[in-house]
Amino acid sequence: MAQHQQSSIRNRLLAAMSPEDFASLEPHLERVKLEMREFLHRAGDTITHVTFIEEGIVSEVAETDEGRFEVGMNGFEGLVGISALLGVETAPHSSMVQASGRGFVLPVEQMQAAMDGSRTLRMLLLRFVHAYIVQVSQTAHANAGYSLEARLARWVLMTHDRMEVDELSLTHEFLSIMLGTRRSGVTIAVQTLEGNGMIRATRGRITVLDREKLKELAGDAYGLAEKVYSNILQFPQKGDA
Amino acid sequence: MARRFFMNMRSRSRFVPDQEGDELQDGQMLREHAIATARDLIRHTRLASVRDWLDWTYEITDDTGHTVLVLPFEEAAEGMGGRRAER
Repeated sequence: MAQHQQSSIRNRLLAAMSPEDFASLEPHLERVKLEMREFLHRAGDTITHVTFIEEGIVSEVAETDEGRFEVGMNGFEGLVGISALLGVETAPHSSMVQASGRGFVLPVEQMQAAMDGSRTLRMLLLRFVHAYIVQVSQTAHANAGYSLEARLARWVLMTHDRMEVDELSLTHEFLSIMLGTRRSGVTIAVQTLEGNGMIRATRGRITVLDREKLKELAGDAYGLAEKVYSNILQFPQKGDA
Repeated sequence: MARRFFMNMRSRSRFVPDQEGDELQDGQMLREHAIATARDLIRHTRLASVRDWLDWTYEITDDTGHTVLVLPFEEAAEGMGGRRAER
């Protein structure tokens, strides 16, 4: 009997798979906890498993001489180890848990074998990779053209999208890594967002108060990647044999 | 012994308190740390609400709340060279 029922799974990729595709992966899925600040892999490591996130957030973090900064994030809509879906098993960046939770790990060999064996599975996952590329492109766009306040607004929205609560545990120190800037810059930006009623900030916490205002501030930097992803999940993958 | 310093900032009537602080191994390094941080902000950080970083000042306090260093960014920027963040 199957250990994991597809209907009770929160990860949107696993949930969107055809029952046959899910059944081919199910025996190899193993539940894991995602602990705060844990690294699923470091830059340069061999990727041995992909991780489907059920709850929590994992950030892809570039490690440079100038410091660390986030290049992409995944929550229950995605997975970690995207390079392995494309046949590359060396991690270009580190993957760090930025909000604790849980997930399923799957050995890379099983993932790749299943993709080789099923066009529907391959198409679903490649569409997800596309959506992720759009997210990363939008991050580049935001970094090049937007103020720190707008980038913070976008980042808070993206994090909020992936969490079930409005209150996010975030220090300015952590945000400074995520946004690739000095902590003082984050402190000013947080005060500005709070002054405009978008968030409430207490020490180590940010509570989302007004998503519409945050969206207005984030402008074009937020929304495209999210729309592209939503379009993918409208593809009739489920039961489309 | 490591000490924590709170990098509060002020620009005219706006005060931005720092609740987290930076830990420094040596209090003697504080001025150097503040200058390096201010220069990095001036060079790389573009904030809509900061028209000019040179209007800002660090008002740094220790963990007892005493002000231990006041550093205008203008002073930190002296002899800096290089480009400032575009606005």
